[in-house]
Amino acid sequence: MKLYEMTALELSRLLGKKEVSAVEVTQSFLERTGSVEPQVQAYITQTPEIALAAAEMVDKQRARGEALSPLAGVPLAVKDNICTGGVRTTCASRFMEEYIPPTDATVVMKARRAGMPLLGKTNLDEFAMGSSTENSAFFPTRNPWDLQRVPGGSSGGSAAAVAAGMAPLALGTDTGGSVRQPAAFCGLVGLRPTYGRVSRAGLVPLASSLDQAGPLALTTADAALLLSLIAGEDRLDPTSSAAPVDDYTGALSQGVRGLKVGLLAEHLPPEFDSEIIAAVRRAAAALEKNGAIVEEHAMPHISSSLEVYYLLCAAEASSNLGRFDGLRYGRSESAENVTAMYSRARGEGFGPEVKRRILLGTAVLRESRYERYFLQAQRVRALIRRDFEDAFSRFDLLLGAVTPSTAFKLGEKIEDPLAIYRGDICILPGPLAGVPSIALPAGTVSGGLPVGVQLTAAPFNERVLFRAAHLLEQERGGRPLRPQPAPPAL
Amino acid sequence: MAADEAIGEREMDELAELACLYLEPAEKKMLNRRLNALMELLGKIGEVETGGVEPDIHPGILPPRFREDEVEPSLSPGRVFQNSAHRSDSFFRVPSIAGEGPGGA
Repeated sequence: MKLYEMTALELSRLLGKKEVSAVEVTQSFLERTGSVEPQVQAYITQTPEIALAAAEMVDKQRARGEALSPLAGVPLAVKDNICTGGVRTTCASRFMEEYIPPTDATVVMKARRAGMPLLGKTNLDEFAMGSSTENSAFFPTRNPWDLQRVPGGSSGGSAAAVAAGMAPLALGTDTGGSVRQPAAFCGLVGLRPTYGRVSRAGLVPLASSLDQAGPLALTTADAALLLSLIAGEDRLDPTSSAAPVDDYTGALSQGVRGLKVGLLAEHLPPEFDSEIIAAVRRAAAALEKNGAIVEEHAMPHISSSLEVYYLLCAAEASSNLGRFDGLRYGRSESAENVTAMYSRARGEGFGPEVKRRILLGTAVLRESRYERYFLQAQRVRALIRRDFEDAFSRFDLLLGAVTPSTAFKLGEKIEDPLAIYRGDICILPGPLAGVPSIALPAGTVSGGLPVGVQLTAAPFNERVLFRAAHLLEQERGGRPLRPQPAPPAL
Repeated sequence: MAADEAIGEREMDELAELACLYLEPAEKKMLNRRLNALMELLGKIGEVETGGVEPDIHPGILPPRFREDEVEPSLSPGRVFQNSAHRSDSFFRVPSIAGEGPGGA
């Protein structure tokens, strides 16, 4: 097996035993990237020199016998809306094409301090607005399982990089499913942590009450390793939690005996792909076989999640994106007065989806609509949260689908944004309630594409997610799901 | 969505001005059409019974946190201005703001 085909945990063990060097590991991923990136186009910016310098440093530290993080020498790809000091961070937007952050996001700082070589910055839908990575201002990323299909989004570049063997681990952001949906489309594990579990400092904000960073990984163990590294309180993010970080890797082998699992009735409708429903039911049966108690459960308000999410996300985004004025950073325009300068920079720098959401947010925050749209959405958000509180008074876990269908073809839905929005229905409720969810591979369906299932737990109970997800992974054979055939090299 | 809630041409101009977005005429028409389709979909939120429910502005999992109001090191001017094309000494330089708005000269 080549190094780029290994999981982060396997690489960590080889590095720890000094059977390979961090430079060898990093070079393997760089070489793999050289051969498949022209087809997949996962990266906006590649940083091989930075990666190799970090790897050399790790090798020197290891040679000196220093205590190192389990992830030291394991390379990382980072979504390009997460700030990297000295490395441009574009948000896949023309507006931010040349922006070089002065500092690292906290999650990046933690990864760099742990000795994870930064391979590059991955593609996304502009400002994380989208579910296919087709809204990138630069180019669409392709799904390594089928190059004619989307990798999902908005963290599609991160997912494609890991699925194609161009990175063993990646960071994404999940505002309304942007880690979990691409994980499902690309056959990966994708975790959205509890709101507040991971610092948001240095994430370019989309919707501040919803944004979270999370890992995209080949296995549950890899996701647990990366979460263990990035989780924790951060004085730069007042919404980060001071709760102690749990032992996630220790939870992996604890099994599911005695756990109560609610099978979400709303995720099993006849209009969903029948093979996805079958995958969810197979997961339920596997949990039951291993000692969990599974019951179907209904959550009456989550069917309104789509409306609530898009109203609140647009309102928050219209406010958050007010900072992009072309004065302090970003696309710069000359004009006769300051308002014209701002308007031209924003008008020329933002793409159509970003403009649509800014205008939507502006419309629903106007006095004439504020009560009926914005406040009403916040009230329904409260009802959705109550649905989750009620569910977690009865169950340890909720099981459901990630998406209603497998990865769609590039361009198939580009003219129908509402169809793309509707595809997010299973991944929107969790963020509205701030609860953690994990998407994990559940095999492939008849077209040869991967399909995922989703587990959701009560706030700060990521451990129980890892217990159940790891068990389901073992039931599937315990190995990562890999694209068959692999993406063609040039 | 009621007909009077649809966003018309005049409101599109107002929204673009409020959002500081310069839009080409053809782009404005296309965005107006899509925005109205979206408003129609999202207008269904009004059908949910929410009597007596307080709006939820935040996940609400975490208690508010405070810190001492103390001076701390911040970015150097060089780093603050590194991404700006509008620097003048230690200031951001903007075109005239006089003459704008209803109270302008």
